[in-house]
Amino acid sequence: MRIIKKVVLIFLLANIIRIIPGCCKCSEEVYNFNFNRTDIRNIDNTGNYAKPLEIDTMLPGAVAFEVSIFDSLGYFYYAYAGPEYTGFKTAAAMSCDCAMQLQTTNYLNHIKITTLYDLSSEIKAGDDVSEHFVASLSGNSSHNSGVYQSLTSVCTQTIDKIYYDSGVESFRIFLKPEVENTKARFAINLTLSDNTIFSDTTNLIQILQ
Amino acid sequence: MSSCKNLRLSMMLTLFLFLVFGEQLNAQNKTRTESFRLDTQFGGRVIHRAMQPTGADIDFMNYLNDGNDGYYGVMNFGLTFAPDSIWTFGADMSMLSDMLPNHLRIDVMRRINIISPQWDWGLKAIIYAYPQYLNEFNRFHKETDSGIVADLNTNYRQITLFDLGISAMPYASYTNKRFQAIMGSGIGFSSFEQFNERILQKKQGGNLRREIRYETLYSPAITSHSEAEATYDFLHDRRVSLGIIAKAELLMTFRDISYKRTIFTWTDDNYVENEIHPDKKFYAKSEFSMGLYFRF
Repeated sequence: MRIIKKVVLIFLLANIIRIIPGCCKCSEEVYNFNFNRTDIRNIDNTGNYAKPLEIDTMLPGAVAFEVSIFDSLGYFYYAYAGPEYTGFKTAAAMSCDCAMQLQTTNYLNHIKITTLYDLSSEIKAGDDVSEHFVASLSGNSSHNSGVYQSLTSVCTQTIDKIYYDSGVESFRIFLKPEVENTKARFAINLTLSDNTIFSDTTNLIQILQ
Repeated sequence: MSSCKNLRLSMMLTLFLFLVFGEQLNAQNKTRTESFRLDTQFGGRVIHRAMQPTGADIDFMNYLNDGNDGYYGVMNFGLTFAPDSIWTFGADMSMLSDMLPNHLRIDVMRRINIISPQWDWGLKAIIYAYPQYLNEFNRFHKETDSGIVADLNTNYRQITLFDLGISAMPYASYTNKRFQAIMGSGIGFSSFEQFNERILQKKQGGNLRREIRYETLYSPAITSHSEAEATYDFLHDRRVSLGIIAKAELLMTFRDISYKRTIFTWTDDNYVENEIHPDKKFYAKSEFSMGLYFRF
């Protein structure tokens, strides 16, 4: 009998310990924001992993950029104030480290990339080179693959996407064919679901042959 | 046709009666009460498999135990329970130098018949699982894939690979005063547990990325399994006994690790898929151990 009591006590203690971290509450409210600005940066993809590049020089087979769209109010769109409560409040033993949930009202619909210089004898200035680019999402993503994504799948994943803490969509684009020219520059058009079109160009890139 | 069927039925019935009642009659000659035996042994294990030359496709068997024969020191702990003189149940747990007791084995023995005061025979069934290390299989890509970073994962690539098997065998037992020996040999099948691995590759100075995914397939192999055990009581009482025990085991088979390979280039919708069945090769696990036991 004493053994049974001891076993029950151990189980009770284990469950009490489990209850404590459960005593906090996060708001499930989703806040809306709008994409209204873009930013394009150079990417160094010559090594094992891509990283930001401060200069405008790239290798012919490693032309890459990072494109970001976000709300102009800032990366952290809302200062988290927490919901207002009146009357009785729910008791919480601990304060939670809650991520704020954000959702855009105008998701990404289409990406069009045009070259402003000849890339090779086949790909001339002014050509739509979207098909020659692949992409990968910046930061953490649910895309569990070691290879790139198509530009279309980058657009698709923004539909109804919940952004935590910051309303920033950021992805990297990589050119598949090697550039045979000494210069490269691209115009990028991003079409959103509300038919807004953001146009921007990359820096003029010097290609090391 | 009908007489043939009746003959077969009567033979099966005779065999059944022989197994059930014959044993009870024999048991009257050689009685034994229930007993437990705890034993511990230390010994050595050798795992050998024939190497294959490096070809166009990876052969995971080449990377078992760092591509060498595995020589291990093994510590065994065993519990045996014999509720009567017919059935014996055993459970063994072993560990290597990593002190991880994840080598498991369960066996059941049933005595069928007593041949003489010293000799009897029966049947034995064994279920076992023991791990091995599959190390640095990415060496294959480093040796064969040129002009590309062969594996972006710079960590030591090690897979703990369990070999799971089942065997059945007839055994013969010899008992003479304080000495007992049991020998058995039979067949079974075993298979390495399935695993998934991936290799990420990238062109140095370029954007090209490639991913190779391996998913191993269930590849059971027929095994030849032989075992021997000898015990000697050097301290003996009516209720308890203490003695020395020696065990030997030999497991042989021809086996492979088949797998499905998917190579993604640039994007995950651009892939080539193949099913690879490497040649079967000789594989043997032999073990010998000695120790002490306590029976009560």
